Amino acid sequence: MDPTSSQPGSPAALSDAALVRLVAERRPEALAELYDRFAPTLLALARRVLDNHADAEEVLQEVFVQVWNRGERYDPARSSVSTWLVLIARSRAIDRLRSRKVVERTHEATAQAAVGASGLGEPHTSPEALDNVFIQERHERVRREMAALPAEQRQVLEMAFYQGLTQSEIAAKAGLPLGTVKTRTLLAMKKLRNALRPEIRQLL
Amino acid sequence: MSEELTSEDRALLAALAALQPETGAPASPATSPPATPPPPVAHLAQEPNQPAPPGDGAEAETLTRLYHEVLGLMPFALAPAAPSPEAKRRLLARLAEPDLAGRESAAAKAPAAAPATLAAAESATAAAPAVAQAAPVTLEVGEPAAAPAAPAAAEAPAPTTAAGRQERFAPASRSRSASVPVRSSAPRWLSALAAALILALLGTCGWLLNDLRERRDAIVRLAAQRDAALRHAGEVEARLGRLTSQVGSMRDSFSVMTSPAVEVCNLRAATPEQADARGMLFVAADHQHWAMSLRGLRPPAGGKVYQLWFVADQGPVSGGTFAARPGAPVELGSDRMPAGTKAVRITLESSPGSPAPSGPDVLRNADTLHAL
Repeated sequence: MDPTSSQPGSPAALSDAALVRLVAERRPEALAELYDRFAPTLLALARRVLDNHADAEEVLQEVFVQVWNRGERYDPARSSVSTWLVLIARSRAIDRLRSRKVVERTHEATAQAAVGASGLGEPHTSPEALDNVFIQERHERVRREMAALPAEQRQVLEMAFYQGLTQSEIAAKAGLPLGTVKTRTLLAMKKLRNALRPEIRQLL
Repeated sequence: MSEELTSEDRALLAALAALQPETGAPASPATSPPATPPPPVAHLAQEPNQPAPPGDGAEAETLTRLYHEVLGLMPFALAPAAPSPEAKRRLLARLAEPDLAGRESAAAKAPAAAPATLAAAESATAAAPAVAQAAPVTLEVGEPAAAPAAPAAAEAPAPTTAAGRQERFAPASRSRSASVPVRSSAPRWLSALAAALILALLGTCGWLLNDLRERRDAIVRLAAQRDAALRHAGEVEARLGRLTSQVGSMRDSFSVMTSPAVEVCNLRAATPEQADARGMLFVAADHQHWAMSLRGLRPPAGGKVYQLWFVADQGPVSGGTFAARPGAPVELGSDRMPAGTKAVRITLESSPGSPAPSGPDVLRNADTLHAL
Protein backbone atom coordinates (compact mmCIF):
# COMPACT_ATOMS: atom_id res chain seq x y z
CA MET A 1 0.00 0.00 0.00
CA ASP A 2 1.12 3.53 -0.60
CA PRO A 3 2.13 5.73 2.25
CA THR A 4 -0.77 7.60 3.73
CA SER A 5 -0.89 11.25 4.58
CA SER A 6 0.18 10.57 8.14
CA GLN A 7 3.25 11.99 9.82
CA PRO A 8 6.42 10.88 8.03
CA GLY A 9 8.35 8.42 10.15
CA SER A 10 5.31 7.23 12.07
CA PRO A 11 4.24 3.64 11.44
CA ALA A 12 1.08 4.88 9.77
CA ALA A 13 3.20 6.46 7.04
CA LEU A 14 4.98 3.23 6.16
CA SER A 15 4.15 0.73 3.45
CA ASP A 16 2.78 -2.69 4.44
CA ALA A 17 6.08 -4.37 3.51
CA ALA A 18 8.10 -1.87 5.55
CA LEU A 19 5.87 -2.60 8.52
CA VAL A 20 6.46 -6.34 8.18
CA ARG A 21 10.20 -5.71 8.12
CA LEU A 22 9.89 -3.74 11.36
CA VAL A 23 7.77 -6.51 12.86
CA ALA A 24 10.61 -8.92 12.08
CA GLU A 25 12.79 -6.57 14.13
CA ARG A 26 10.32 -7.02 17.01
CA ARG A 27 8.79 -3.56 16.88
CA PRO A 28 5.34 -3.79 18.47
CA GLU A 29 4.21 -0.42 17.11
CA ALA A 30 4.65 -1.80 13.58
CA LEU A 31 2.47 -4.80 14.40
CA ALA A 32 -0.10 -2.49 15.97
CA GLU A 33 -0.25 -0.49 12.74
CA LEU A 34 -0.60 -3.64 10.62
CA TYR A 35 -3.37 -4.70 12.97
CA ASP A 36 -5.18 -1.40 12.54
CA ARG A 37 -4.93 -1.70 8.78
CA PHE A 38 -5.95 -5.29 8.31
CA ALA A 39 -7.74 -6.56 11.42
CA PRO A 40 -11.23 -5.48 10.26
CA THR A 41 -10.79 -7.29 6.94
CA LEU A 42 -9.25 -10.39 8.52
CA LEU A 43 -11.91 -10.48 11.23
CA ALA A 44 -14.62 -10.28 8.57
CA LEU A 45 -12.93 -13.17 6.74
CA ALA A 46 -12.68 -15.31 9.87
CA ARG A 47 -16.29 -14.55 10.76
CA ARG A 48 -17.40 -15.54 7.29
CA VAL A 49 -15.58 -18.87 7.62
CA LEU A 50 -16.53 -19.61 11.22
CA ASP A 51 -19.88 -17.79 11.56
CA ASN A 52 -18.92 -16.97 15.13
CA HIS A 53 -17.51 -13.68 16.35
CA ALA A 54 -15.66 -14.98 19.40
CA ASP A 55 -13.93 -17.73 17.41
CA ALA A 56 -13.08 -15.24 14.69
CA GLU A 57 -11.46 -12.88 17.19
CA GLU A 58 -9.35 -15.73 18.48
CA VAL A 59 -8.24 -16.53 14.94
CA LEU A 60 -7.35 -12.87 14.53
CA GLN A 61 -5.13 -13.08 17.62
CA GLU A 62 -3.45 -16.21 16.29
CA VAL A 63 -2.78 -14.57 12.94
CA PHE A 64 -1.02 -11.58 14.43
CA VAL A 65 0.93 -13.67 16.92
CA GLN A 66 2.09 -15.78 13.96
CA VAL A 67 3.07 -12.63 12.08
CA TRP A 68 4.95 -11.43 15.15
CA ASN A 69 6.84 -14.69 15.44
CA ARG A 70 7.46 -15.35 11.77
CA GLY A 71 7.54 -11.89 10.24
CA GLU A 72 10.99 -12.57 8.87
CA ARG A 73 9.57 -15.32 6.66
CA TYR A 74 7.52 -12.91 4.62
CA ASP A 75 8.86 -12.77 1.06
CA PRO A 76 7.63 -9.82 -1.01
CA ALA A 77 8.55 -11.70 -4.21
CA ARG A 78 5.92 -14.31 -3.41
CA SER A 79 2.91 -12.26 -2.37
CA SER A 80 1.76 -8.89 -1.18
CA VAL A 81 1.49 -8.36 2.56
CA SER A 82 -2.26 -8.09 2.21
CA THR A 83 -2.54 -11.46 0.49
CA TRP A 84 -0.04 -13.04 2.87
CA LEU A 85 -2.14 -11.97 5.84
CA VAL A 86 -5.40 -12.95 4.20
CA LEU A 87 -4.16 -16.45 3.41
CA ILE A 88 -2.75 -16.97 6.90
CA ALA A 89 -6.08 -15.89 8.37
CA ARG A 90 -8.02 -18.09 5.97
CA SER A 91 -5.88 -21.11 6.82
CA ARG A 92 -6.20 -20.56 10.54
CA ALA A 93 -9.95 -20.08 10.28
CA ILE A 94 -10.46 -23.17 8.12
CA ASP A 95 -8.27 -25.23 10.45
CA ARG A 96 -10.47 -24.17 13.32
CA LEU A 97 -13.61 -24.86 11.31
CA ARG A 98 -12.42 -28.38 10.59
CA SER A 99 -11.41 -29.01 14.17
CA ARG A 100 -14.83 -28.13 15.49
CA LYS A 101 -16.80 -29.86 12.75
CA VAL A 102 -18.16 -32.39 15.19
CA VAL A 103 -19.22 -29.78 17.68
CA GLU A 104 -22.76 -28.55 17.32
CA ARG A 105 -22.65 -24.82 17.01
CA THR A 106 -24.88 -22.71 19.19
CA HIS A 107 -25.71 -19.15 18.43
CA GLU A 108 -27.27 -16.30 20.23
CA ALA A 109 -30.11 -14.99 18.17
CA THR A 110 -29.44 -11.31 18.48
CA ALA A 111 -25.93 -10.05 18.08
CA GLN A 112 -24.90 -12.95 15.91
CA ALA A 113 -27.82 -12.64 13.53
CA ALA A 114 -26.41 -9.96 11.33
CA VAL A 115 -23.62 -10.91 8.96
CA GLY A 116 -22.37 -9.95 5.56
CA ALA A 117 -21.91 -6.94 3.35
CA SER A 118 -23.98 -3.82 3.37
CA GLY A 119 -24.15 -0.34 2.03
CA LEU A 120 -24.66 1.43 5.34
CA GLY A 121 -22.33 -0.76 7.30
CA GLU A 122 -23.34 -3.82 9.18
CA PRO A 123 -25.89 -3.23 11.89
CA HIS A 124 -24.11 -2.35 15.12
CA THR A 125 -20.77 -2.41 13.39
CA SER A 126 -18.73 0.71 13.79
CA PRO A 127 -18.75 2.69 10.53
CA GLU A 128 -15.18 3.62 11.44
CA ALA A 129 -14.14 -0.05 11.33
CA LEU A 130 -11.71 1.00 8.62
CA ASP A 131 -9.95 4.28 9.00
CA ASN A 132 -7.48 3.60 6.24
CA VAL A 133 -8.79 5.20 3.10
CA PHE A 134 -6.84 2.89 0.74
CA ILE A 135 -8.25 -0.21 2.32
CA GLN A 136 -11.70 1.34 2.43
CA GLU A 137 -11.52 1.93 -1.30
CA ARG A 138 -10.20 -1.60 -1.86
CA HIS A 139 -13.21 -2.95 0.00
CA GLU A 140 -15.57 -0.92 -2.11
CA ARG A 141 -14.02 -1.97 -5.43
CA VAL A 142 -13.73 -5.65 -4.61
CA ARG A 143 -17.27 -5.73 -3.23
CA ARG A 144 -18.54 -4.14 -6.43
CA GLU A 145 -16.67 -6.59 -8.66
CA MET A 146 -17.66 -9.63 -6.63
CA ALA A 147 -21.28 -8.54 -6.74
CA ALA A 148 -20.99 -8.18 -10.52
CA LEU A 149 -20.10 -11.86 -10.92
CA PRO A 150 -22.95 -14.18 -11.89
CA ALA A 151 -24.29 -15.76 -8.70
CA GLU A 152 -23.41 -19.30 -9.74
CA GLN A 153 -19.79 -18.35 -10.42
CA ARG A 154 -19.50 -16.43 -7.19
CA GLN A 155 -20.95 -19.36 -5.30
CA VAL A 156 -18.31 -21.89 -6.38
CA LEU A 157 -15.50 -19.44 -5.77
CA GLU A 158 -16.76 -18.66 -2.28
CA MET A 159 -17.21 -22.32 -1.45
CA ALA A 160 -13.58 -22.93 -2.38
CA PHE A 161 -12.29 -19.91 -0.54
CA TYR A 162 -14.40 -19.69 2.58
CA GLN A 163 -15.21 -23.34 3.15
CA GLY A 164 -11.87 -24.74 1.99
CA LEU A 165 -13.56 -27.21 -0.35
CA THR A 166 -11.86 -28.85 -3.31
CA GLN A 167 -13.46 -28.66 -6.74
CA SER A 168 -14.70 -32.24 -6.35
CA GLU A 169 -16.18 -31.47 -2.93
CA ILE A 170 -17.93 -28.42 -4.32
CA ALA A 171 -19.32 -30.52 -7.18
CA ALA A 172 -20.66 -33.06 -4.70
CA LYS A 173 -22.07 -30.45 -2.34
CA ALA A 174 -23.70 -28.31 -5.01
CA GLY A 175 -24.87 -31.30 -7.04
CA LEU A 176 -23.04 -30.12 -10.14
CA PRO A 177 -20.79 -31.94 -12.59
CA LEU A 178 -17.10 -31.44 -11.77
CA GLY A 179 -16.51 -29.90 -15.20
CA THR A 180 -19.16 -27.27 -14.57
CA VAL A 181 -17.62 -26.36 -11.23
CA LYS A 182 -14.20 -25.99 -12.83
CA THR A 183 -15.51 -23.90 -15.71
CA ARG A 184 -17.40 -21.59 -13.37
CA THR A 185 -14.40 -21.19 -11.12
CA LEU A 186 -12.08 -20.43 -14.02
CA LEU A 187 -14.51 -17.91 -15.49
CA ALA A 188 -15.00 -16.19 -12.13
CA MET A 189 -11.28 -15.95 -11.47
CA LYS A 190 -10.55 -14.55 -14.91
CA LYS A 191 -13.27 -11.96 -14.61
CA LEU A 192 -11.99 -10.92 -11.22
CA ARG A 193 -8.46 -10.78 -12.47
CA ASN A 194 -9.43 -8.41 -15.27
CA ALA A 195 -11.74 -6.33 -13.14
CA LEU A 196 -9.31 -6.01 -10.23
CA ARG A 197 -6.24 -5.31 -12.34
CA PRO A 198 -5.71 -1.81 -10.86
CA GLU A 199 -5.99 -3.17 -7.32
CA ILE A 200 -3.51 -5.95 -8.04
CA ARG A 201 -1.12 -3.48 -9.61
CA GLN A 202 -1.21 -1.47 -6.38
CA LEU A 203 -0.43 -4.58 -4.39
CA LEU A 204 2.50 -5.77 -6.50
CA MET B 1 -10.95 -22.81 -24.53
CA SER B 2 -8.12 -21.43 -26.62
CA GLU B 3 -4.51 -22.54 -26.23
CA GLU B 4 -3.49 -19.33 -24.52
CA LEU B 5 -6.28 -19.79 -22.02
CA THR B 6 -5.14 -23.32 -21.34
CA SER B 7 -1.81 -22.09 -20.04
CA GLU B 8 -3.63 -19.43 -18.06
CA ASP B 9 -5.99 -22.07 -16.74
CA ARG B 10 -3.04 -24.03 -15.49
CA ALA B 11 -1.64 -21.02 -13.64
CA LEU B 12 -5.07 -20.37 -12.22
CA LEU B 13 -5.56 -23.93 -11.07
CA ALA B 14 -2.11 -23.83 -9.49
CA ALA B 15 -3.13 -20.77 -7.48
CA LEU B 16 -6.32 -22.53 -6.44
CA ALA B 17 -4.47 -25.72 -5.64
CA ALA B 18 -2.23 -23.76 -3.30
CA LEU B 19 -5.31 -23.23 -1.15
CA GLN B 20 -5.93 -26.94 -0.83
CA PRO B 21 -3.89 -28.98 1.61
CA GLU B 22 -4.56 -32.22 -0.20
CA THR B 23 -3.55 -31.02 -3.65
CA GLY B 24 -1.00 -28.31 -2.89
CA ALA B 25 2.67 -29.16 -3.22
CA PRO B 26 4.61 -29.19 0.01
CA ALA B 27 6.65 -26.17 0.86
CA SER B 28 10.35 -26.15 0.24
CA PRO B 29 12.36 -27.53 3.13
CA ALA B 30 14.57 -24.47 3.13
CA THR B 31 11.76 -22.28 4.36
CA SER B 32 9.52 -24.72 6.15
CA PRO B 33 9.84 -25.16 9.90
CA PRO B 34 12.22 -27.98 10.73
CA ALA B 35 10.22 -30.16 13.10
CA THR B 36 6.54 -30.98 12.81
CA PRO B 37 5.12 -28.68 10.16
CA PRO B 38 2.02 -26.63 10.92
CA PRO B 39 -1.26 -27.64 9.25
CA PRO B 40 -0.82 -27.78 5.49
CA VAL B 41 -3.15 -24.92 4.67
CA ALA B 42 -1.44 -22.57 7.08
CA HIS B 43 1.86 -23.68 5.72
CA LEU B 44 0.91 -23.01 2.15
CA ALA B 45 -0.33 -19.63 3.17
CA GLN B 46 3.22 -18.78 4.07
CA GLU B 47 4.61 -20.22 0.89
CA PRO B 48 2.09 -18.89 -1.56
CA ASN B 49 3.79 -19.74 -4.81
CA GLN B 50 5.10 -23.15 -3.97
CA PRO B 51 3.08 -25.20 -6.45
CA ALA B 52 4.92 -24.16 -9.55
CA PRO B 53 2.56 -24.12 -12.52
CA PRO B 54 3.51 -26.48 -15.25
CA GLY B 55 4.71 -25.14 -18.53
CA ASP B 56 5.53 -21.60 -19.44
CA GLY B 57 8.06 -20.80 -16.73
CA ALA B 58 8.28 -17.15 -15.77
CA GLU B 59 5.06 -16.17 -17.54
CA ALA B 60 3.11 -18.88 -15.83
CA GLU B 61 4.64 -17.91 -12.53
CA THR B 62 3.55 -14.33 -13.05
CA LEU B 63 0.06 -15.53 -13.83
CA THR B 64 0.04 -17.73 -10.75
CA ARG B 65 1.11 -14.76 -8.70
CA LEU B 66 -1.66 -12.65 -10.26
CA TYR B 67 -4.32 -15.20 -9.41
CA HIS B 68 -2.82 -15.59 -6.00
CA GLU B 69 -3.40 -11.89 -5.44
CA VAL B 70 -6.95 -12.20 -6.82
CA LEU B 71 -7.66 -14.80 -4.14
CA GLY B 72 -6.05 -12.57 -1.55
CA LEU B 73 -8.45 -9.79 -2.48
CA MET B 74 -11.59 -11.88 -2.02
CA PRO B 75 -12.26 -11.06 1.62
CA PHE B 76 -12.25 -7.39 0.75
CA ALA B 77 -15.72 -8.04 -0.66
CA LEU B 78 -16.91 -8.59 2.89
CA ALA B 79 -18.00 -5.77 5.14
CA PRO B 80 -15.06 -5.05 7.44
CA ALA B 81 -15.73 -5.97 11.06
CA ALA B 82 -14.29 -3.92 13.89
CA PRO B 83 -12.52 -6.11 16.44
CA SER B 84 -13.18 -5.22 20.05
CA PRO B 85 -10.65 -2.83 21.59
CA GLU B 86 -9.91 -5.53 24.17
CA ALA B 87 -8.71 -7.82 21.36
CA LYS B 88 -5.97 -5.38 20.39
CA ARG B 89 -5.00 -4.76 24.00
CA ARG B 90 -4.82 -8.49 24.58
CA LEU B 91 -2.63 -8.98 21.52
CA LEU B 92 -0.22 -6.22 22.49
CA ALA B 93 -0.06 -7.59 26.02
CA ARG B 94 0.84 -11.00 24.61
CA LEU B 95 3.65 -9.47 22.56
CA ALA B 96 5.07 -7.99 25.73
CA GLU B 97 5.53 -11.46 27.22
CA PRO B 98 9.27 -12.10 26.89
CA ASP B 99 9.02 -15.78 26.01
CA LEU B 100 6.17 -15.50 23.52
CA ALA B 101 8.28 -16.55 20.56
CA GLY B 102 9.48 -19.72 22.23
CA ARG B 103 6.05 -20.73 23.41
CA GLU B 104 4.30 -19.99 20.16
CA SER B 105 6.74 -21.93 18.02
CA ALA B 106 6.45 -24.80 20.45
CA ALA B 107 2.67 -24.64 20.26
CA ALA B 108 2.78 -24.72 16.48
CA LYS B 109 4.68 -28.00 16.55
CA ALA B 110 2.37 -29.99 18.74
CA PRO B 111 4.31 -33.27 19.08
CA ALA B 112 7.62 -31.47 19.43
CA ALA B 113 6.15 -29.11 22.00
CA ALA B 114 7.67 -30.66 25.09
CA PRO B 115 11.26 -30.82 23.87
CA ALA B 116 11.04 -27.35 22.40
CA THR B 117 9.70 -25.91 25.62
CA LEU B 118 12.29 -27.83 27.54
CA ALA B 119 15.04 -26.42 25.38
CA ALA B 120 13.67 -22.93 25.85
CA ALA B 121 13.45 -23.44 29.58
CA GLU B 122 16.95 -24.81 29.55
CA SER B 123 18.43 -21.84 27.80
CA ALA B 124 16.42 -19.49 29.99
CA THR B 125 17.70 -21.06 33.16
CA ALA B 126 21.17 -21.92 31.92
CA ALA B 127 22.81 -19.13 33.89
CA ALA B 128 21.08 -19.93 37.17
CA PRO B 129 22.02 -23.63 37.40
CA ALA B 130 25.59 -22.82 36.46
CA VAL B 131 25.85 -20.55 39.47
CA ALA B 132 23.97 -22.98 41.67
CA GLN B 133 26.22 -25.77 40.59
CA ALA B 134 29.42 -23.84 41.22
CA ALA B 135 28.58 -22.81 44.74
CA PRO B 136 27.61 -26.12 46.33
CA VAL B 137 30.41 -28.02 44.60
CA THR B 138 33.01 -25.67 46.00
CA LEU B 139 31.47 -25.92 49.42
CA GLU B 140 31.12 -29.67 49.41
CA VAL B 141 34.64 -30.12 48.20
CA GLY B 142 36.12 -27.50 50.42
CA GLU B 143 34.62 -28.55 53.75
CA PRO B 144 35.72 -32.20 53.92
CA ALA B 145 39.14 -31.26 52.62
CA ALA B 146 39.59 -28.66 55.30
CA ALA B 147 38.92 -30.61 58.44
CA PRO B 148 41.17 -33.62 57.99
CA ALA B 149 43.82 -31.61 56.18
CA ALA B 150 44.08 -29.23 59.08
CA PRO B 151 46.54 -31.30 61.14
CA ALA B 152 48.80 -31.99 58.13
CA ALA B 153 48.69 -28.59 56.47
CA ALA B 154 48.59 -26.36 59.45
CA GLU B 155 50.66 -23.76 57.64
CA ALA B 156 47.74 -22.90 55.33
CA PRO B 157 45.60 -20.18 56.93
CA ALA B 158 41.89 -21.00 56.84
CA PRO B 159 40.21 -18.72 54.29
CA THR B 160 36.55 -17.80 54.81
CA THR B 161 35.35 -16.56 51.42
CA ALA B 162 34.19 -18.78 48.59
CA ALA B 163 37.23 -17.80 46.57
CA GLY B 164 39.29 -18.57 49.52
CA ARG B 165 37.72 -21.95 49.79
CA GLN B 166 38.58 -22.59 46.17
CA GLU B 167 42.11 -21.52 46.92
CA ARG B 168 42.11 -23.88 49.82
CA PHE B 169 41.09 -26.70 47.53
CA ALA B 170 43.76 -25.83 44.99
CA PRO B 171 46.71 -26.23 47.34
CA ALA B 172 45.22 -29.53 48.39
CA SER B 173 45.39 -30.84 44.84
CA ARG B 174 48.83 -29.37 44.40
CA SER B 175 49.95 -31.12 47.53
CA ARG B 176 48.54 -34.34 46.07
CA SER B 177 50.71 -33.99 42.97
CA ALA B 178 53.71 -33.17 45.14
CA SER B 179 52.91 -35.85 47.62
CA VAL B 180 55.48 -38.41 46.43
CA PRO B 181 58.21 -37.35 48.83
CA VAL B 182 55.83 -37.44 51.77
CA ARG B 183 53.96 -40.57 50.68
CA SER B 184 55.83 -42.77 53.07
CA SER B 185 54.90 -40.54 55.93
CA ALA B 186 51.41 -39.83 54.62
CA PRO B 187 48.82 -41.68 56.64
CA ARG B 188 46.36 -44.01 54.87
CA TRP B 189 43.54 -41.75 55.71
CA LEU B 190 44.80 -39.38 52.99
CA SER B 191 43.94 -41.85 50.21
CA ALA B 192 40.68 -42.65 51.96
CA LEU B 193 40.03 -38.95 52.07
CA ALA B 194 40.73 -38.59 48.32
CA ALA B 195 38.34 -41.45 47.57
CA ALA B 196 35.71 -39.95 49.84
CA LEU B 197 36.27 -36.61 48.17
CA ILE B 198 35.71 -38.11 44.71
CA LEU B 199 32.65 -39.95 45.90
CA ALA B 200 31.30 -36.78 47.47
CA LEU B 201 31.96 -34.93 44.23
CA LEU B 202 30.20 -37.54 42.13
CA GLY B 203 27.30 -37.68 44.55
CA THR B 204 26.95 -33.95 44.55
CA CYS B 205 27.05 -33.79 40.77
CA GLY B 206 24.40 -36.49 40.51
CA TRP B 207 22.24 -34.75 43.05
CA LEU B 208 22.65 -31.44 41.26
CA LEU B 209 21.82 -32.92 37.88
CA ASN B 210 18.75 -34.57 39.27
CA ASP B 211 17.73 -31.38 40.99
CA LEU B 212 18.26 -29.46 37.76
CA ARG B 213 16.12 -31.93 35.84
CA GLU B 214 13.35 -31.65 38.38
CA ARG B 215 13.50 -27.89 38.25
CA ARG B 216 13.30 -27.96 34.48
CA ASP B 217 10.30 -30.26 34.61
CA ALA B 218 8.68 -27.96 37.13
CA ILE B 219 9.31 -24.96 34.86
CA VAL B 220 7.78 -26.77 31.89
CA ARG B 221 4.81 -27.84 34.00
CA LEU B 222 4.27 -24.36 35.35
CA ALA B 223 4.60 -22.82 31.88
CA ALA B 224 1.97 -25.25 30.58
CA GLN B 225 -0.33 -24.42 33.49
CA ARG B 226 0.16 -20.73 32.92
CA ASP B 227 -0.57 -21.13 29.19
CA ALA B 228 -3.73 -23.05 29.98
CA ALA B 229 -4.80 -20.41 32.48
CA LEU B 230 -4.08 -17.65 29.96
CA ARG B 231 -6.06 -19.47 27.30
CA HIS B 232 -8.94 -19.93 29.68
CA ALA B 233 -8.80 -16.29 30.69
CA GLY B 234 -8.78 -15.32 27.02
CA GLU B 235 -11.84 -17.46 26.34
CA VAL B 236 -13.70 -16.02 29.28
CA GLU B 237 -12.74 -12.53 28.22
CA ALA B 238 -13.92 -13.21 24.66
CA ARG B 239 -17.22 -14.56 25.96
CA LEU B 240 -17.61 -11.56 28.20
CA GLY B 241 -16.85 -9.27 25.27
CA ARG B 242 -19.53 -10.99 23.21
CA LEU B 243 -22.09 -10.73 25.98
CA THR B 244 -21.22 -7.09 26.55
CA SER B 245 -21.68 -6.43 22.88
CA GLN B 246 -25.07 -8.19 22.96
CA VAL B 247 -26.17 -6.20 25.96
CA GLY B 248 -25.01 -3.06 24.17
CA SER B 249 -27.05 -3.97 21.08
CA MET B 250 -30.12 -4.70 23.19
CA ARG B 251 -29.70 -1.46 25.10
CA ASP B 252 -29.42 0.45 21.82
CA SER B 253 -32.57 -1.19 20.50
CA PHE B 254 -34.40 -0.62 23.76
CA SER B 255 -33.45 3.04 23.89
CA VAL B 256 -34.75 3.53 20.34
CA MET B 257 -38.00 1.65 21.06
CA THR B 258 -38.68 3.67 24.20
CA SER B 259 -37.48 7.04 22.95
CA PRO B 260 -39.99 9.91 22.88
CA ALA B 261 -41.85 10.41 19.60
CA VAL B 262 -40.64 7.05 18.30
CA GLU B 263 -42.28 6.06 15.05
CA VAL B 264 -43.44 2.47 14.82
CA CYS B 265 -43.99 0.77 11.52
CA ASN B 266 -45.29 -2.74 10.98
CA LEU B 267 -43.63 -5.04 8.48
CA ARG B 268 -45.75 -7.65 6.73
CA ALA B 269 -44.89 -10.71 4.69
CA ALA B 270 -44.56 -9.91 1.02
CA THR B 271 -44.66 -13.49 -0.18
CA PRO B 272 -47.07 -16.32 0.59
CA GLU B 273 -44.07 -18.61 1.03
CA GLN B 274 -43.18 -16.77 4.23
CA ALA B 275 -46.67 -15.82 5.35
CA ASP B 276 -45.68 -16.08 9.01
CA ALA B 277 -42.91 -13.52 8.71
CA ARG B 278 -43.61 -10.21 10.40
CA GLY B 279 -41.73 -7.46 12.10
CA MET B 280 -41.68 -4.01 13.58
CA LEU B 281 -39.45 -1.07 12.78
CA PHE B 282 -38.86 1.61 15.40
CA VAL B 283 -37.45 4.91 14.19
CA ALA B 284 -36.26 7.47 16.74
CA ALA B 285 -37.23 11.11 16.43
CA ASP B 286 -33.84 11.98 14.99
CA HIS B 287 -34.67 9.72 12.00
CA GLN B 288 -31.23 8.17 12.30
CA HIS B 289 -31.44 5.65 15.10
CA TRP B 290 -33.59 2.66 14.31
CA ALA B 291 -34.29 -0.80 15.66
CA MET B 292 -36.03 -3.68 13.98
CA SER B 293 -37.44 -6.86 15.41
CA LEU B 294 -38.34 -9.69 13.02
CA ARG B 295 -40.16 -12.94 13.74
CA GLY B 296 -41.03 -16.02 11.71
CA LEU B 297 -38.33 -15.68 9.06
CA ARG B 298 -37.14 -18.99 7.73
CA PRO B 299 -33.39 -19.60 7.56
CA PRO B 300 -32.29 -18.65 4.06
CA ALA B 301 -31.44 -21.53 1.74
CA GLY B 302 -27.83 -22.26 0.79
CA GLY B 303 -25.81 -19.31 -0.44
CA LYS B 304 -28.61 -16.79 0.27
CA VAL B 305 -28.93 -14.01 2.81
CA TYR B 306 -31.64 -11.59 3.77
CA GLN B 307 -30.90 -7.99 2.88
CA LEU B 308 -32.55 -4.91 4.32
CA TRP B 309 -33.25 -1.94 2.06
CA PHE B 310 -34.20 1.62 2.92
CA VAL B 311 -36.06 3.07 -0.03
CA ALA B 312 -35.07 6.74 -0.14
CA ASP B 313 -35.19 9.50 -2.74
CA GLN B 314 -32.13 8.15 -4.50
CA GLY B 315 -33.55 4.62 -4.59
CA PRO B 316 -32.96 1.59 -2.38
CA VAL B 317 -29.95 1.78 -0.05
CA SER B 318 -28.71 -1.39 1.60
CA GLY B 319 -29.07 -1.48 5.36
CA GLY B 320 -27.13 -4.69 5.78
CA THR B 321 -27.49 -8.40 5.33
CA PHE B 322 -28.41 -10.96 7.94
CA ALA B 323 -29.28 -14.57 8.50
CA ALA B 324 -32.17 -16.05 10.45
CA ARG B 325 -32.33 -19.13 12.61
CA PRO B 326 -35.37 -21.31 13.12
CA GLY B 327 -37.57 -20.03 15.92
CA ALA B 328 -35.17 -17.25 16.86
CA PRO B 329 -36.07 -13.60 16.53
CA VAL B 330 -33.80 -11.33 14.54
CA GLU B 331 -32.95 -8.02 16.15
CA LEU B 332 -31.29 -5.38 14.04
CA GLY B 333 -30.45 -1.77 14.60
CA SER B 334 -28.09 1.01 13.73
CA ASP B 335 -27.60 4.72 14.19
CA ARG B 336 -27.81 5.56 10.51
CA MET B 337 -30.72 5.72 8.16
CA PRO B 338 -30.66 7.40 4.75
CA ALA B 339 -32.40 10.77 4.61
CA GLY B 340 -35.77 10.67 2.93
CA THR B 341 -36.46 7.00 3.65
CA LYS B 342 -40.05 6.31 2.67
CA ALA B 343 -40.22 2.57 2.72
CA VAL B 344 -38.44 -0.50 3.97
CA ARG B 345 -37.97 -3.80 2.17
CA ILE B 346 -36.31 -7.07 3.00
CA THR B 347 -35.28 -9.22 0.06
CA LEU B 348 -33.61 -12.57 -0.36
CA GLU B 349 -30.24 -12.14 -2.09
CA SER B 350 -27.25 -14.26 -2.98
CA SER B 351 -24.49 -14.09 -0.38
CA PRO B 352 -22.71 -11.76 0.38
CA GLY B 353 -25.47 -9.38 -0.61
CA SER B 354 -26.38 -7.35 -3.62
CA PRO B 355 -25.69 -3.72 -4.54
CA ALA B 356 -29.37 -3.31 -5.49
CA PRO B 357 -32.44 -5.40 -4.70
CA SER B 358 -32.55 -8.30 -7.14
CA GLY B 359 -34.19 -11.12 -5.23
CA PRO B 360 -37.81 -11.57 -4.18
CA ASP B 361 -39.32 -9.33 -1.49
CA VAL B 362 -39.87 -11.17 1.78
CA LEU B 363 -41.09 -8.38 4.06
CA ARG B 364 -42.10 -4.79 3.47
CA ASN B 365 -43.59 -1.99 5.49
CA ALA B 366 -47.34 -2.16 6.00
CA ASP B 367 -47.62 1.36 7.44
CA THR B 368 -46.45 4.55 5.86
CA LEU B 369 -43.23 6.00 7.15
CA HIS B 370 -43.80 9.65 7.97
CA ALA B 371 -41.49 12.59 7.67
CA LEU B 372 -38.33 10.62 7.12
